[in-house]
Amino acid sequence: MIVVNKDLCVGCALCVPMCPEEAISCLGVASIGENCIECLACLEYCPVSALGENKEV
Amino acid sequence: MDEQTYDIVVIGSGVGGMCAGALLAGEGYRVLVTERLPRIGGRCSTVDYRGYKCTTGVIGPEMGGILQEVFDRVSAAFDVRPAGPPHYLIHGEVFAMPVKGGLHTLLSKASGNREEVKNVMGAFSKALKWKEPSQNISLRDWLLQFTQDDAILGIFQAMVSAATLVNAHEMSARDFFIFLKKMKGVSTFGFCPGGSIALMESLARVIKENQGEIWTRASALHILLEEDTVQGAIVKREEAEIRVRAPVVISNCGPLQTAQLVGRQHLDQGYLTELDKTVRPATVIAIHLAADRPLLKENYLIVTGARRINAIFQPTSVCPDLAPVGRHYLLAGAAPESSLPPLNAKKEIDLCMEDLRDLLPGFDDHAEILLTGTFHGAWPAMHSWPGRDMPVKTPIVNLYHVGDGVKSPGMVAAPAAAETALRVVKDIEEHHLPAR
Repeated sequence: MIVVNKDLCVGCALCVPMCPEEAISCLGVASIGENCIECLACLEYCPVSALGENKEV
Repeated sequence: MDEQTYDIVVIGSGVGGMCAGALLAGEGYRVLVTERLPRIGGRCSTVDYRGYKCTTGVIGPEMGGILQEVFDRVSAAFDVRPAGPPHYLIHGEVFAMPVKGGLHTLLSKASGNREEVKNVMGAFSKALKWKEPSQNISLRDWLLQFTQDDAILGIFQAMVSAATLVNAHEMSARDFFIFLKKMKGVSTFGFCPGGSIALMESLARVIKENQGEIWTRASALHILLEEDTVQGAIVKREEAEIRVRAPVVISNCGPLQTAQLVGRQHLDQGYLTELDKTVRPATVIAIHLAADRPLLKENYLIVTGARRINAIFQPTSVCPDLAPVGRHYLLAGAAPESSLPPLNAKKEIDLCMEDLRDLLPGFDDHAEILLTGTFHGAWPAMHSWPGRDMPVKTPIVNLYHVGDGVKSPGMVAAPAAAETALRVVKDIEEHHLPAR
């Protein structure tokens, strides 16, 4: 699953449009919804590298 | 490890980096620009969302100023359409700012207190003609010496926060007047029909046409040094680390992050102290709206006296292609109570939403929120407040900064970044010849 590092995320919302499933919402901090298909499209667009893949979950 | 050699490595493809890259490539230097993200432009870029071309930062680039000068110098297309004259929203009414006597007109519309309007105008005239006030007083505190009128103060708060991205209580009075003097004669801005990214793509073409390269999805991991002289950078691209050798490195990722790339242990204590005492990232809230009809009669409005919103732009009035046919794209900008951390994002966004409902008739029926972005900290509205800039040269020989953390006094945002590129390029041309 995709996890948001809340200490790094500034809430710029620039990840939101990158999600093909519209699974990301952002009001001050990004949040990944349940319809995330883990395509990882959002990861490389985060300007502060706040999005990551949690492979343990 | 793979190794490559260039004359110049530019880290970051924002306005400062792309201007510097294009200018140097045009002069015959072999340039590499590295960009961590898949798209170029940094905060002068565009992201498509539901058919709307949303800006990543810059909404209205200045026309006829230093930014355009860079484009002209490298013969790059500068497709920006004039946004038209400024309008101010004062006590719920819209006023066009007259070309002459604009400030007096605005203050008189805001307040019936003629005495205080006269006091402020007198102080302004003196500050412009004789000497600007001290660096050691904020614009707000300086104004409070002449007026206590909230409506007058509100005009300045809107003007300053919309134009310079800090609050009137954060901008020094001196820097505000230097800004006003520099603005004279360059007060027009416009909207880009292809979004802000079109400007950066235009510079990218210049770089590529001159044998330069732009690597996206390429993170600079370290800036390489030998003694106290820069040697290039280690860049991670497609999972491989590449040693890029270059006699000159230009960093467009902000003074704080540049220090991390160099390694703070390689920077002298004086510089680090200056860095930590000087740099204050600017904070802005940007709300992107979609609408099924125009929500403004004007192309943009400077909003006075609202809770947080200081400006609303409707670029589709000028550039309809930024939205699907028949729809409009608007951007509302806001300054939070303080630019200093921590940002209480929820409270600030709530206040912005209350403002939008008050300011835009038909908001609930005709508009939807596309994106709500908060810019601060490591991804700020500007890498530092106006008047709180680092020098373009670092303690590392041949390592330069460009961008909005190393602005000249009185300059802000994209033109300020372009100006840093001109300064850096001039210095490079004086000291380094292209290899070929």
